[in-house]
Amino acid sequence: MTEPHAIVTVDGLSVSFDEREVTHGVSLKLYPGRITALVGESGSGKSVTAMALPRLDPSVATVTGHAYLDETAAAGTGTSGTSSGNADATGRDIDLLAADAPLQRIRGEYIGTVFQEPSTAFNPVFTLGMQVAESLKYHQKGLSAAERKAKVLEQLREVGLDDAERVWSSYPHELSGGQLQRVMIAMAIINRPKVLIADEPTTALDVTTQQAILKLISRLAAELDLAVLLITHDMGVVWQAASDVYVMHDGVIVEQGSVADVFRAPKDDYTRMLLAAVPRLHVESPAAVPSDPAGTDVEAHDSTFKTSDTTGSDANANTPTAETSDPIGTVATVRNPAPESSDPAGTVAKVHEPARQTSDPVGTDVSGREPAVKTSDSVGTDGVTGTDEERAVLGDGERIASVEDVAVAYKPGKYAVEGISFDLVAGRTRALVGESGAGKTTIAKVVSGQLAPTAGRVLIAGEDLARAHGRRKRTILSHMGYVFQDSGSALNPRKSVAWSIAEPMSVQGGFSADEKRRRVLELLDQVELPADVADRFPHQLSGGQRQRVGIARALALNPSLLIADEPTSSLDVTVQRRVLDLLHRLQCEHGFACLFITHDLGIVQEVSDVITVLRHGRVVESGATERVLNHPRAEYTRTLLDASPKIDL
Amino acid sequence: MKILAYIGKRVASSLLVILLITLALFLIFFLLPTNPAQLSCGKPCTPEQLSRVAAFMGTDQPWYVQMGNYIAGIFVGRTFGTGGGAVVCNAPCLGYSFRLGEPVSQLIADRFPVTASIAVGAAVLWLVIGVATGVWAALKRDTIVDRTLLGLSVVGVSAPSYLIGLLMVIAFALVIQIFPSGGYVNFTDDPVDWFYHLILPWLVLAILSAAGYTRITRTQMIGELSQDYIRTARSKGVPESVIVFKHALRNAMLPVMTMFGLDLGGLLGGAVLTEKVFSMQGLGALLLDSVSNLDLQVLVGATLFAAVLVIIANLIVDICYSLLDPRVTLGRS
Repeated sequence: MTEPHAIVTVDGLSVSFDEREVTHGVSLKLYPGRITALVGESGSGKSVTAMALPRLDPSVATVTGHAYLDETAAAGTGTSGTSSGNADATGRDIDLLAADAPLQRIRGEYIGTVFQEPSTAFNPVFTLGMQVAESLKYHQKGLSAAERKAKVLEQLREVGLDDAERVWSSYPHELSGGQLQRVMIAMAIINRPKVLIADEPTTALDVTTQQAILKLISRLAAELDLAVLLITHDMGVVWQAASDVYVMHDGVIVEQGSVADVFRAPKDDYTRMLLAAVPRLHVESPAAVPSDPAGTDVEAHDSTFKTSDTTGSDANANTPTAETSDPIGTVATVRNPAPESSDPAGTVAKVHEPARQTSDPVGTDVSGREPAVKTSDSVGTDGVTGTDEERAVLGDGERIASVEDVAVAYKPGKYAVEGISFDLVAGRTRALVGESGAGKTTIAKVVSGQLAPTAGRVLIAGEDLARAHGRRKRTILSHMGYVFQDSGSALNPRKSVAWSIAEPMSVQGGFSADEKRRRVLELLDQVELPADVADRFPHQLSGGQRQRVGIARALALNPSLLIADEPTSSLDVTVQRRVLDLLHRLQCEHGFACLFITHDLGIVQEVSDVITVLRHGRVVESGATERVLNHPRAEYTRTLLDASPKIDL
Repeated sequence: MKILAYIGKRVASSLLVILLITLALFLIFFLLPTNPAQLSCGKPCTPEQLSRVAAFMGTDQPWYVQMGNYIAGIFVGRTFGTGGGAVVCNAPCLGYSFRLGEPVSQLIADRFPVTASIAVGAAVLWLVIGVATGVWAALKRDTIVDRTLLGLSVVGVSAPSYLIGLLMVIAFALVIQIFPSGGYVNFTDDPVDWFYHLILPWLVLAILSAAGYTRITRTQMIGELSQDYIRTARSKGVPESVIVFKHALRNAMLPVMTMFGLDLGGLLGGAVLTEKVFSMQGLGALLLDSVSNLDLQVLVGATLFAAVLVIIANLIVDICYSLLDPRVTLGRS
């Protein structure tokens, strides 16, 4: 038994841009086999800090401080499976930030890096095989091209890309985001670095893909004794994957500790606020759902994931400090609402049998294709709809809009969405949920008259939107407000806020300048913005303020229907909290019907009364939100639920 | 296979473009208030002679018939007049210069090697100079090197070719006398002399065009070097030189290539001013000559030839583009 030995010790790291210091003396430690999360909102300095370690910060940045890489890490590279973490360091550590640091070896050989946006992180004109092999080329110089290829193919298979040969000769645009992220991970670890920096590795991915990638990272951390620094803004991701967490705010670490401790008893006010702001998904145990072969498969995924998480604490158990390893062990149990939680011995067994995890067929399954692709939907094309159940929730409020068997085909026979039917009722919110490409935005466009349906119809207050033209269509649309996803690009940058808010009134006509001004001020007040914002321009506002302006514009004509297309997905979590609260308050006051599009089930639970789950352009399940989330009938809903990060304390 | 289908489709649409160009040329040139027959009529020119000449040349027909005859001539050749005095213009007949007494296609065939020598050599030179300086400027962004190169490129872009050309002739042909001031020697006659005569025209054109390439390469390189994939390559420990010349340059070259294809295609149709300055008898000189002598058949033939070259250059660029950038799929618009 020895002390846990940090592989990376960051000491007083500060980054400045043009004399302006953005991070102030950050210190943190990374341990082999453990995932350490660095969490914070945009502008907190978390990415800048992480990128400074392999000196991938922008060239204008000045970095001061020290980041020591344990000497054993440098010694152990190039050969797989060598165990470090023992405390016999001779003290000849490498300072990553020193001017004479061996940059080329640090990058790729000591530290592997995984980036946020897999679609832009690869060079578009080279094959993926070439790009992964390049990682080997400059670190393992003796290899022939054929040997490099063999190694790359082996590595690709290890990260779960079974058709490695095809991936080898593919170009980045030919693979999905999840597949690309696997290739990126393969590229980062192919030289067996001791440290992996993952900068928002799942932010651009769908929730089921996110889960699979996080599982992969957990598994690799355990198997390769990899110290992972996970940069994220998402507390759910921290909970799902990390064992230790550092919370960063305004360039300073405000809190640190094990995930279990910090989540259960946050000491810092900012951490508390951050945790309080996260929309949490509370569902009854998914295990309560009676036996369904694929369903158990999904749960098995989950348990594997948790196992590897536990294995993380096992690696720690080799070098335990009582206060860290113990709570994490507890966490593993707490986080398992599934049957095995009632069986503490099971958890223990897994801790002592990491080998079982590798040979577990489900384990290979996890490393395979994204579960969303694989899981067959037993529900079939018609989906599950609970019409009576919806009626019970929606009450007999006024039907503002009816979507009747709508289909949109971009090419004859190629449907983007098909067979979509639902009602939107005054004062109630319907959430439209699904992963990217499910057809959420297409439906929003049809409902808002931007896109004519190929079949079916949309009735707004009894009128068929597609048949209305000119003034009549404008009148129908005046009952509708639209809040867009990206608040930054949804406002005209050259027009004042007042102009943007008043635009719907200008389009409809019949308002004097005075009336418009009065209304703008009134609306600003409603969305809790000061009146002087009216004469400012979008670039002078923060993201949250811009989204408020977007909401004010949507409400300008007192709409009876509000369509909100991922209105908070580009916002920080604390800002998102305030915008969601605002929307809720406005709905209570104005009683509009709301179509809320999101991919986040936590938000869904908070904002919606009824939910429509979409997949591949079809309704998979529809019904009262609480029923769907707690007792999903469609298998796909269960998959989504299962993949969604759930913070259960 | 896919690429052949694509080329077939492109050729078909190119033919349509060429037809439209021919139509435009006929409308412009043959409806001008000049009578081509008048020029070949000789002096004195009686109305009878004039109508005889017009009938001989075919210019007494309506313009669309003339155009039909012209197009037919390209494929099957045509014969002007009848009997002993008939002039035969074999396919592909791009017209017949009665002033020079030669078919236009023959004139083009004679002149094209001169223009092609100038154009291809200059293009290679300016591409190398432009891309090299562009990359250099991008790497030395906002330093004195960058600003100097940008300043020079402004001069290059804005200076007229005859000015640079004449200055070069004065400097290197008259004052220092190391290069000939003009003329052209066939490559097959004497390759060294051919090269020797072409150095100055190449330099003139290269200096002028490289400036634009410097700027576009610089802009593209700066853009590419700030892309995410560059950071990814750095994170793998790839040496900076490889990042610049392999990762960034290959992406930066894509728009440069488009420009290059168009420029080269256009230049092959005749480097008018440069040929004039260095007294070389290329297509440019032929065009200039035909304009000043109102030799309309030559003008139409040479212009059409130039247009076809631009279209071919475009086609080649598009095919190369699809080979360099896997995201571009041929045959999908």
